[in-house]
Amino acid sequence: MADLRFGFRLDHVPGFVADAVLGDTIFEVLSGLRDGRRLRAALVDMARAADAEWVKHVVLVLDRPRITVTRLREEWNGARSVFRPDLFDRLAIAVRDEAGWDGIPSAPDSSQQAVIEQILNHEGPWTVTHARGSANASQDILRLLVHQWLLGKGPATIKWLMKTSGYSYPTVAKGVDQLGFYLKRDRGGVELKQFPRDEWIRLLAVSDAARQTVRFTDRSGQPRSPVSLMRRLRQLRRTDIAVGGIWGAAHYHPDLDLVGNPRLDLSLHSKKANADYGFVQRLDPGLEQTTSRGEAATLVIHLVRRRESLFEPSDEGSPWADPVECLLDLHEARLEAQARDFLRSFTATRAAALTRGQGQ
Amino acid sequence: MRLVAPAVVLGEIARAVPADCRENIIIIGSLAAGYHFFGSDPAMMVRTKDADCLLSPRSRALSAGVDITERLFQERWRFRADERWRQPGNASTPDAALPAVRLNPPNTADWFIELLAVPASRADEGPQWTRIETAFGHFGLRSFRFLSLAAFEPIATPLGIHVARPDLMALANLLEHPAVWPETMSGVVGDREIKRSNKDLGRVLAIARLTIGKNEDALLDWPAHWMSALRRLFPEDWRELASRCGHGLRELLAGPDDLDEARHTCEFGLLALQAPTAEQLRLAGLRLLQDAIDPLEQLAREA
Repeated sequence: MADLRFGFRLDHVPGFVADAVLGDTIFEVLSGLRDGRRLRAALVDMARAADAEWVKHVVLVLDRPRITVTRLREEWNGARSVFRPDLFDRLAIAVRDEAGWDGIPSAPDSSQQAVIEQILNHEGPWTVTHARGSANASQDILRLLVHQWLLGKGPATIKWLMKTSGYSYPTVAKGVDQLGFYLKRDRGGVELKQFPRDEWIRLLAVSDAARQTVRFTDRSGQPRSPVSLMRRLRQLRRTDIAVGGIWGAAHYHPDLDLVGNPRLDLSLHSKKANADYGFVQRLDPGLEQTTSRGEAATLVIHLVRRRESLFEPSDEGSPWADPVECLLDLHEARLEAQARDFLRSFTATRAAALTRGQGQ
Repeated sequence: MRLVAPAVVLGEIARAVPADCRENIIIIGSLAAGYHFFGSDPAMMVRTKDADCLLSPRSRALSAGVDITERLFQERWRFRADERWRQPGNASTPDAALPAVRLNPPNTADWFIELLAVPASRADEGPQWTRIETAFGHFGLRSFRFLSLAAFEPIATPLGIHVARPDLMALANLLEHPAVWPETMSGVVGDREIKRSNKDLGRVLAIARLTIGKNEDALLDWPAHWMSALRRLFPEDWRELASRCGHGLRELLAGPDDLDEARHTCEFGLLALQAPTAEQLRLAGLRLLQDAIDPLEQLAREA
């Protein structure tokens, strides 16, 4: 039996990453679908995904949709008239909600249900849309676009923004619209024209709340160094906790000045309403959470709530937080000089890349 | 108890004992730990009244005990009488009633030397007394089962005598107290009556804290060294010993009154000049459990 593979990149659809693939079947998951526009966009993506010789089935899994099956059938029948029949015949919708299973053209059988359960368990109930406000959504979209801009990734598609953030189409579209002044639309995606300073400053002002930052201070009288904490973190082999702050920044730009860094910044990727900080005691039993900004923090943890962490894997045992998180960490730690140097290093890299591109 | 500089006391002992006995002396206890952590800095002091000298190896311990005792008496060191032992023993003194070799230096009563011996057998569970006959009377050399750990790979000093490794002294104390026993010490510490277990386990916490102060990750190296010593010295039952080495400490950390007694002994001992709070001492204990004791117990389970 073929293995279930998650996050499968489809070579025949540039930029498309399927949620899961099993043999000749592609699965795409949408949670909490609430509008026909998003469904129609998904059906288009599915048809494109189906257009390869090896693909026999493309299943759109709707987890607890907010629209009725009757409405789904209307959209389905509408799509039938415009899609190529050979592609449309490969498509199916599976619906799972509190009432059980349903589907179009038919509900999945028990073996398909088992596979879909496995996929849904892997995807997790990512409910950012409902758990967080629209202000947070805008900031999350901003962070994603800055991420793409810093790393010179080019335009981000709405689909990528949805998949990475976990937000629905309307939320992402609204977040993108709010950044309109800074954006250029290209190759089916959006991209920042420049670093969005005003929006960034606004983000910094609410960064603590937006990232649900938690601080830990030493109570032993013998504070452990960031290096020791990092060494112990790596022994835990946790892929959901990334090293950020100045150590993360130095990973991206090794010339960064590390002098005078008394704390470790970590990013914790968590979908739980109440994040689990139990691992802190494994790093050091001498650490205790503090809400006082007057106390020196030895360890600072920021939550990453979006669906994809964007952590960069590392052979050393712990991934690196993405550069946007690192930049926010530097500002939060009042390491303004290092933050400026860090941002400039990306700007310089981008400028050099553009110059090379124009010269060719 | 007075504040003494470990390096000064060790120098005085080394000068007084016969040269050919120095290599048989291993300083243990708070003076050894103080010398290890504070080095030759005479400004760094510990509060103690006894300089415990462990005689090793066993084959030389008794003759060295005689030679050292006689030399010190000749150098005008004085028998330290107390309520239990008013004078040296003689041929008619029962073994169980023999006084320990406890001698004050000629110029001070602030501290005294006590001679101990490594145990004759790995199986000796409780304290053992071995008679030595000297020109100045009969004495007993005390041995405890886990003193052999303090004699394992001791650290040589420029003075010619050795000091025990702090991690192995800690292990010996951990093994000696698999629970917080109710027995109290014969004298008070400061003005308080203290359980013997709390004093010895408090020493473990003090050593852990000083070790962390010197190198924040040094405790991580302890389990491997502990296992090496246990396997060598207790080849038949090292697993059982390793698996219970943290029981007493966990009990101490869970009991606020016991922990406060431990803190009190640290304040009146090894940490006299940098006394921690009870909470700081508890956190040192948690770090010790996490870095050294839990891994040793795990190694024992997996072996």
